[in-house]
Amino acid sequence: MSKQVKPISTERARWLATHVVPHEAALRAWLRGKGGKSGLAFDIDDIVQETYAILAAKASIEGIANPKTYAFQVAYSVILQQLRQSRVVPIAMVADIGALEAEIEDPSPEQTMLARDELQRVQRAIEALPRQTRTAFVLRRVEGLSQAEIARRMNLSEHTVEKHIARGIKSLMAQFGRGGSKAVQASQEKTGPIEREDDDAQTNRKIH
Amino acid sequence: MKTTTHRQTAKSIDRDAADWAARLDAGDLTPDQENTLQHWLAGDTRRLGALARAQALMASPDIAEALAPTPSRVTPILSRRGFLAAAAASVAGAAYLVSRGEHGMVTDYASEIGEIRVIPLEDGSKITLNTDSAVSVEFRPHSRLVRLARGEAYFEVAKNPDRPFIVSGPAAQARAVGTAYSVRLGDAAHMQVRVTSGRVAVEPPPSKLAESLRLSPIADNGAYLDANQQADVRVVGDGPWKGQVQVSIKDVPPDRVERELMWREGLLSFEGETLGEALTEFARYSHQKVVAQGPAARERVSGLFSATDSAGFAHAIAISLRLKTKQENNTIVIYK
Repeated sequence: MSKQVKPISTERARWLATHVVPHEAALRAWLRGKGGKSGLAFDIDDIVQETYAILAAKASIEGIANPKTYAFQVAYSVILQQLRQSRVVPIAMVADIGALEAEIEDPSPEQTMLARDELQRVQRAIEALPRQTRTAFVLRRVEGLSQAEIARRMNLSEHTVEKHIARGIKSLMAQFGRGGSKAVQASQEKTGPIEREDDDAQTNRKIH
Repeated sequence: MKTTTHRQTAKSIDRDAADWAARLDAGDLTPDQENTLQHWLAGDTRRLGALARAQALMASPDIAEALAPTPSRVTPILSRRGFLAAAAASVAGAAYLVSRGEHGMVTDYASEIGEIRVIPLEDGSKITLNTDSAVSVEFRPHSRLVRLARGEAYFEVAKNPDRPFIVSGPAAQARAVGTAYSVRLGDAAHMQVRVTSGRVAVEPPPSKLAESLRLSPIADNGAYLDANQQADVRVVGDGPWKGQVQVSIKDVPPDRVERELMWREGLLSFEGETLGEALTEFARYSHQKVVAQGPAARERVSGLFSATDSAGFAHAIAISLRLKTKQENNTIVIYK
């Protein structure tokens, strides 16, 4: 492995934050549904990490018109790749990417609800943190102070502030995207080949 | 490809990634750290993803919003302190007064009824004073202090993180580093803060002790406002919370915020308010008294009107709503 792996730029972090993070809960719910339907065991956290890795390593994100669809496609390709390596491909998993797009089209009202749930979960997680950790984290994220400024203001060493920030991030990472089961139902109800057959049948009738 | 029997769990990768994200957030890495990070990243493809996710979560504006204390609910923030000594110092006319403050020069500005004043400040910020309003401005080395003595003002704040811009009312203050927001004083210590861009902290004024020790201005019990949000600060007059200051926050549609800031152009905009409500608003801008009698007060009005021409408004609205007007002493009466 000669290729250098670099952490992402601030711009990329911001792009991920505004275009991918809001869909993470839906992505996880969809993955749960996929796993359940196919009877296949894959680790959702693994798939999510691999998905972010691919989005992070992409040279340019300019061509991505619909980041949500794109993130789902990437996740799907990660699953397929894992399946190919395991050499056992359950039939249910092999769907074309076009169908995938139809599956994940627009955020449904349920998903908007979920986003609010998600933020509440984050809120509770941060409220549960020790006081100093919470204060440092809020100063960093809400007030926009640098870690050095926080250290000065809270009269702590910069090293200690860094530890507090790390702790806050850990809590975010552990909590975010893992809320509720509503989206599973929603995406399962929305998909399903039956609905599409009905559509076809109707179109046929019209043609006749 | 080598198959490793020991594969790191996703959870364990997340924890390492959080440590790296915090390290990167602290500042530049030493060459040694740079090397260690390279090694770590190269060891498993998922690590870059976990780190990217950690950094994205740290950059998420939605999450920052969720972290800000106080969502849309009423929270008592402190017991009342007599903070606004300047409230009594009302300055007549449009002239301004310069006096020596505790820490620097204090400049007072005031507007007359019907007057809208734009006041450019030395730091590049801008205050727009609405009708019959008064502020005093004090530039300190580590803060920019504006005391709103009466009325309403809109603030466009030049960004300076080292020198927060603080607008104080009788019971609370609104603190920003670089943003645009309006503050309006009502009766009985009611203060309304509305944010058009950026973020503003609405919090209790610092205690004298905290101020003298130059302690952190962040209050545990403050509330954060984002663009298109409004905070109403009130002092509770009765019951077990008597004397407590309460802040309630709600979302305001962006078009409504813009509409209600039309006063900066000398205009009032209505969209379905009752005639009674509209006239209360006009009363702030003009000495000409206009009242609506009986059912006429409940008629709905829409449109854009000159704030200082309440007589013109009365006649225009009477024609469009098929109402009548008459002059009684110095008052215009609108009736059905």
